[in-house]
Amino acid sequence: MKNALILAGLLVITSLAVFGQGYPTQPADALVFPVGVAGTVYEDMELGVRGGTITIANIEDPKGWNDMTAHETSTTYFTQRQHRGLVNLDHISGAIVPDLAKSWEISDDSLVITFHLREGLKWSDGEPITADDVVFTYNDLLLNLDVDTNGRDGQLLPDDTYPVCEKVDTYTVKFTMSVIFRPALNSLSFSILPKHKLAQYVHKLNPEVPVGTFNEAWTLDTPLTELVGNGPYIVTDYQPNVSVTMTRNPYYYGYDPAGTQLPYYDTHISAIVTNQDVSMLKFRNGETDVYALRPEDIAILLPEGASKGFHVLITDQPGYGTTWFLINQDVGLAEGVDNEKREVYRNVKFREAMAHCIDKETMIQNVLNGLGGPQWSPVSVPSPFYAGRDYYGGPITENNAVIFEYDPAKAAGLLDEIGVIDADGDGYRDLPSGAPLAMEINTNDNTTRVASCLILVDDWQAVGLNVTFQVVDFNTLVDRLFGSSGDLIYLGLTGGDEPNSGANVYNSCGSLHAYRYSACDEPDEIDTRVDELLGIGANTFDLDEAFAAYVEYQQLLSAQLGYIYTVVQSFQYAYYDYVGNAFKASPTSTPGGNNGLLMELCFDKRLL
Amino acid sequence: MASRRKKKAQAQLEEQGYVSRSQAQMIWQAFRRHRVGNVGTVIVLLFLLVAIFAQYIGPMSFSYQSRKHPFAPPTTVHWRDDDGSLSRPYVYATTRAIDRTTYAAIFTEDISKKYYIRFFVTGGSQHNLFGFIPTTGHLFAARADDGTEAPVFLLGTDMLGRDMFTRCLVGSWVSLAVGPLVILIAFPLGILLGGISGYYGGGVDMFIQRVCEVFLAIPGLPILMAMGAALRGFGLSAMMVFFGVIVSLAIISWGGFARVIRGQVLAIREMDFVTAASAAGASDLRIIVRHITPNITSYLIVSATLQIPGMMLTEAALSFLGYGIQEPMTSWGQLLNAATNIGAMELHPWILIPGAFIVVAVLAFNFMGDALRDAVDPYSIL
Amino acid sequence: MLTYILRRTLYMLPLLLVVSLISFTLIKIMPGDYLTSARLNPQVTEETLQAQIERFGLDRSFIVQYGLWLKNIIRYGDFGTSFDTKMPVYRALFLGNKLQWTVFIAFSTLVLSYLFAIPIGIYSATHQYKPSDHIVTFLGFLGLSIPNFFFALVLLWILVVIFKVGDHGLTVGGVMDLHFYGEAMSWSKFTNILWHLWPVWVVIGTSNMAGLIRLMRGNLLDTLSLPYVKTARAKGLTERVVIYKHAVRNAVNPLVTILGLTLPGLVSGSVVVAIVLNLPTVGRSYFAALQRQDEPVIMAGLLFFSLFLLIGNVLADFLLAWVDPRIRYD
Repeated sequence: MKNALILAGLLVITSLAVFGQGYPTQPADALVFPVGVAGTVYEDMELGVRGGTITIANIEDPKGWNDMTAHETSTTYFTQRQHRGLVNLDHISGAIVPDLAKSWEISDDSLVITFHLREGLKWSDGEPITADDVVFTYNDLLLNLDVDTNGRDGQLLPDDTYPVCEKVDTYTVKFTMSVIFRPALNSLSFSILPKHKLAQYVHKLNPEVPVGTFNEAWTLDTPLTELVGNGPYIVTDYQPNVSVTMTRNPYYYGYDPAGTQLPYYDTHISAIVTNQDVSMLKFRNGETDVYALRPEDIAILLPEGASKGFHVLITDQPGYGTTWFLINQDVGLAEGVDNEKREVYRNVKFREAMAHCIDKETMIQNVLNGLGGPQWSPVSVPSPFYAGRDYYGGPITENNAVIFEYDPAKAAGLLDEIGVIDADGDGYRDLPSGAPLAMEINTNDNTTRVASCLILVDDWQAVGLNVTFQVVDFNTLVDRLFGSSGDLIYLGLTGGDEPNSGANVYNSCGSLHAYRYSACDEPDEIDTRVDELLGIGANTFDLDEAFAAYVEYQQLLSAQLGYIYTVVQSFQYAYYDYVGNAFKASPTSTPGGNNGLLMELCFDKRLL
Repeated sequence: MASRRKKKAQAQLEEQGYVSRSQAQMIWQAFRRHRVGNVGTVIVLLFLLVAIFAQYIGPMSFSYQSRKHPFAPPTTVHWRDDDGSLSRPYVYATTRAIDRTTYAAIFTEDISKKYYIRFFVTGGSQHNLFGFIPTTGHLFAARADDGTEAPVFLLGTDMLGRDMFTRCLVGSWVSLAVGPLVILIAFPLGILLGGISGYYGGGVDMFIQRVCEVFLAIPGLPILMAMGAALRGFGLSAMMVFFGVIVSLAIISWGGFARVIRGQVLAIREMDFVTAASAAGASDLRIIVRHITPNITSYLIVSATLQIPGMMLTEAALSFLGYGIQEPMTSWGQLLNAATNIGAMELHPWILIPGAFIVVAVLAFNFMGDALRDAVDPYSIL
Repeated sequence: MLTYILRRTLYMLPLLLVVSLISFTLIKIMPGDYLTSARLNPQVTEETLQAQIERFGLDRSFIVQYGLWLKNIIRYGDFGTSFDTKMPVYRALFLGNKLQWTVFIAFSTLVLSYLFAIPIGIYSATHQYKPSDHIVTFLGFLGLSIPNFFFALVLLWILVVIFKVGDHGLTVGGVMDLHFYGEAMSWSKFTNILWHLWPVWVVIGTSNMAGLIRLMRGNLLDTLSLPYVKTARAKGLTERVVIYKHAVRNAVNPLVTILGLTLPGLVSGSVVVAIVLNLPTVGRSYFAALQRQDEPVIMAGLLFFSLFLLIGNVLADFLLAWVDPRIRYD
C-alpha cells in the first residue's frame, strides 16, 4: 500500500517533469482554428470540450519515434502528431496554411521565402521554440549527409541545389533559392525537431559522438520521457504489438475560437492490430472509435450503424494515388531480343487497343463494390491541379478528360489495323511478321490488384491477345519494373496534391519512368513537351498559369499511354456518433490510416 | 494338386471352428471393422475420383468470369412447377442490382423462362479429360427448351463471378497432391536414414544424427515463409512455386521422421527377440526387415496419417500468409484465403465452402490412416 | 547421462552455425532487399539510395557480409542493428515482453493440451470402437482439421458478431485489455488475461491435441497387448490397476519424448495465430521483419527459433532416457 502510494507520487512527479504546466493564458500568436466560423471551411464544425480518450486501430507497429529518419507511415502517423512544421497542408481545403510560422512572404524575384514564427511558443517540456530549432532541423539534420532521411530529396531544386536556410532573428528564418520553384513551399512543411534535445546526437555539433549516432536516436528503445515535440500529442506509452498511447501536449499552440486549447481529447490511443479484419471487428465491438473501411465492409457496417450508434461516411470522390498497368516499351532492349515485340509495344495504337479493353465498370462494381471511380490522369482526383476541373481548385467536370472507353470491338479493329492478327489460326493474334505474340502481366499478392488483373486478362484474351497472368513477389515486381525484363506490370503509386511530386515518374529521365527508360536518351516530342510543362508548372507562383500547364501535361501523358490508369477506390470511413467533428475529414493517401481525420478537433460529445 | 489338398484341409479346419488367415487377410478384416475409417477411405477415394473428372463435373471453366454475377449465391434449383407439381429440376437466370442505400447486392430471378438441368451435355467450355482428351462435354448444364443456357452456380461465385463449385473441384488437385508428394520424398529418406542410425549406432548414428539435426534445427513455418519468398524471387511460374513448396516441405520434414524412427529402433534393438535373432546369426538386413520394421510399422502409419493432412493445412497456412499457391492456379488453401475476410464471410458465406472441403478431406485422411493403424496391428485388443 | 546431455548441448553451437549459414543464404536469395520499397518512392534519389546501401553494407559480397556478421557475434556478442527500427537486434526481436509472452503461451498451451489429451487418449483406448471412442476421435480430428488462421478468425467473429461481447465491455484479440498493460497484477487483470488467452489455447491447443490423443490411444493399445499386461491380468489385478499402474506408465513414454519436440513447434507454429489474434510474440517481430526484409532481424529470428528447437531436441533425448531406462547411450 505504502509502496503503491510512493509509486503514485513518483508518477505524478515524472509526469510533471515531462509536461510543464502549459501556457498560463492563450499565447497571442496561438494558431486559432476557425471552428464554426462562417465563411471558412470549418464553418460546419462544432466547438468541443476537452477530455476523454479516442481510440483508433493501426495496422503496423511504429519503427521508431524519430520523424527525420522515419521511412513509412506506420511511424509518421505518430511522429507527425508529435511534430509540426512551418506550414501545413490544410486537410480540408488542400491549401498551404500557416502552422508554426504565422506568416511568410515571398520576395519579388520569387527566390526568397521569409517565415515569421509564432512568438512565445514552447516545446512540450517547456523550452522555447525559436528559429534555432528550424535552422537546426534544416541544416544539421535534413541537409546533413550523415542523417539517413528520405526527406532530403524532397528539398532538391530543379538545378540540383538545396534552398539555403538562414536565421534572421529569434523568430524569423529565410530560405533562399537559386531558381524559382513553386513546390518549395510545399516541401518546407517538414517537421521541426527540438535542438535542445537532439543536437547532442549529431556528430557535426557534438564531435564526441560517432558519425551516424543521430540515426539511432529516439528509437523504440528510448525512454519515452525523452521525447519532446510541438504537435498536439506526445507519445507517452508504447506496448509493442499492442498499443501506442499519446497524451496531449500542454504547450500545443492550437486553440479554438472560444479560447479552449486543443486537442480536445486528452489521450489518443492507437491499438495495433495485424489486419483489416481484426480492425473492423474491434470497431464493431466498440473498442475503437473510428475505422477507415474497405469497399467490402460497407454492406456490413451500414445496416449495423443505427443500432450500434455509428455512422458510415461515404464520399464519391476517389482518394489520392494512382493505379495503373504499364506496357514496357523497352522490353528486351538491354538484351537485344524481342525487337518486333518492342516495336509493337511502342506503337501507340497497340497501347490504345490494350486500353480499350479495360472494363473499368466491372472493376469498380465487382472489385471495389461500387465504391470507386475510373481514373485517367497521372494527377490524383482530389488535387486542385486535377485536369478534370475547369480551373485551379474548381469543381470536377471531367471536361478535359482523355478517355479510352471500354470497347473490345474497337480494340480488335486497332489491332487489325497495325497487323497484329491471328496469322496461324491458333486463336491468338501474332506479331505482324507472323511470329507469336505472348505477353505476361505481373502484379504482387494484393486482392484488389489480382482481381483487376484477372479481369484485364480475360478481356485481352477475348480479343485474341495471348496474355497470361502471374503473381510475383513484391520485390521481384519492383525489380522487373526497374529492369527491362518486365513485360506488363500492374501497380499503384501514392499521390498528393502537388503534381510536381510526380516529376520523378513522368520526367523523361525520372527514376520511375518505368514504361520507357530509354526516353531519357531519345525523347520524342511528347516526352520533351512533358518535361517542359513540368518546368513551367513548378517555375511560377501563379496558380492559374501552373494549372494550364498541368492540364496539358495530364492530357499528353494520358494520350501517350505510358502508365495506363485503371480505377481508384473512393474514400470512406465509419465513426461512432459520439465523436464530434469526425464527419469532417479529407481523403487520405493511405486508405488504411486515419490521417485524414483532424484529430485535434475531434471531441467526445458525451462530455458536453 | 497340392493347393487342392491345402484348401481341403483348410475347409476341414473351418468346419471345426478354426480359422486360419494370412497377414493380409487379417489386416483387411481389421480394417473392415473400423467403420469410421471405412467411411474416411470411401471419402478419400471419392475425392480422388472427383479430382480426376473435376473439369467434366464442373459445369464451366474454373477461370471463367461471369461478370454480371460477382458473389452470386448458390443457384436455387427448383423441383416444383408453378402449380406445385413435381417437375424436372430447373433454374432461373438471375440479375444483380446494388441497393444504393444499404450497398447490398440483390439477385433476382427472372421467372419468365425455365432452364432445365440436363445431364451429360456437350457444347460447354472446352477442357481436356484426363489431361489429353479434348472435349466440350460436361456432367450437367441448365438449358431452356430453345437451347439458351443459364449459369448454374451450385456453390455460388467469388468476387469475379467464377463458379465456386468448379473451383473447389479443380482446387483439389493441388490440395490432395501436396501431402502424398511430400511424403513420397520425405518418408523413404527418413526411414532409411533413421533406421540405419538407430540400428547401427556409434559413428554412423552420430553422423546421420548431426545431419538430421541440422535439418531439424531449421524452424518449420519461419523457414517455409522465407523459402516461399525466395522461390518467387526466381520469377517461377505458379506451377513451379507449387513444386518448390513441396520440396521445401519435404526438406524440413524428413529429419523428423528419421528421428522418430531412430528412437523406435533404438528401443526395439534392445528387446530380447532382436538379441535372440542376432545370437541366432541373422544378418543385419534380416533383423531390420523381419524383426524391427514390423514393430515400427504402426508408428510409421500413425505419423504418415498425421502428416498428410498436416501438409494440407500447412499449404493453407502458407497461402494465408501469401507464400503459397498463387492465382491463376488454385487450391483449397488459396480459395479459403480469399474467404478470410470477415466482410466477405458475413455477406457471402458460401465462399467458406472450400474450408469444408479442407476439413472433410483432412478428417477423411485421418480416419483412413487411423483404420490402417488399427489394421496393421491385428493383435491389439478389441 | 550428464556428460551425454552436456555433449549434446555443446553440439548445438556448430549446428547453429550451419543453420545460420543456410538462413543467410536463403535471405540473400530472396529477391530485392530492405531498400526495394524505397526505390518505389519518387521522392528518393539514387544518391540517397546509394548512401543507404553502403550504410547497411548491402553492396559487399555474400562471404564478406556473412563473415562480418559472424565476427561481430563472436567478438562482441553483437547481432547487429535492425535496419528498420535502428535498435539492437535482440531488442527489436524481444521488445516489450514478447519473449516472456511467447514462452508463456507455448508452455501453457503445451501443459493444457497434455492435461486434456492424456485422459482422453486413455478413455479412447479403453473404449476402442465404442461410439464414445468415435466421438472423441472425431472431435479431436475436427480440431486438427480446421486451419488455425481460419479457426481464429471465425472464433473472433463469433465472439463479436454472434455473442456481441463488446456489449459486456469485453474486448477481443491481444493478451489483455489495453489499460491493464503496465499495471501490477491483480485479480481483475488475471481474469482479463484468462479471457484473452482462452481463444489462443483453444485454437492452438485443438490443433495439437488430436495428434497427442492418437498417440496416447495407439500406444496404450500397443502396450495393452504386451505380455506383461497379460501377466498382470492373469494375476487377477483389476482392469483399473492394470491400465493405470502398468500400461499407462509405459504408454505415456513416447508422449513424454515428443514433449520436447512439441514445444518449439508451438513457438514457431503460433506465428499465424499470433497474427490473427494479435499476440505480442517473437513470431510477430519475425513476420514483420520478413515482410520488410530487415535482414539482421530475420537472421536473429531464425536463430532464435532454431535454438528453441535444439533445446527441445536435447530435452526430448533427456526425457526419453529418463522415462525409459532401457535405452543405452554409448
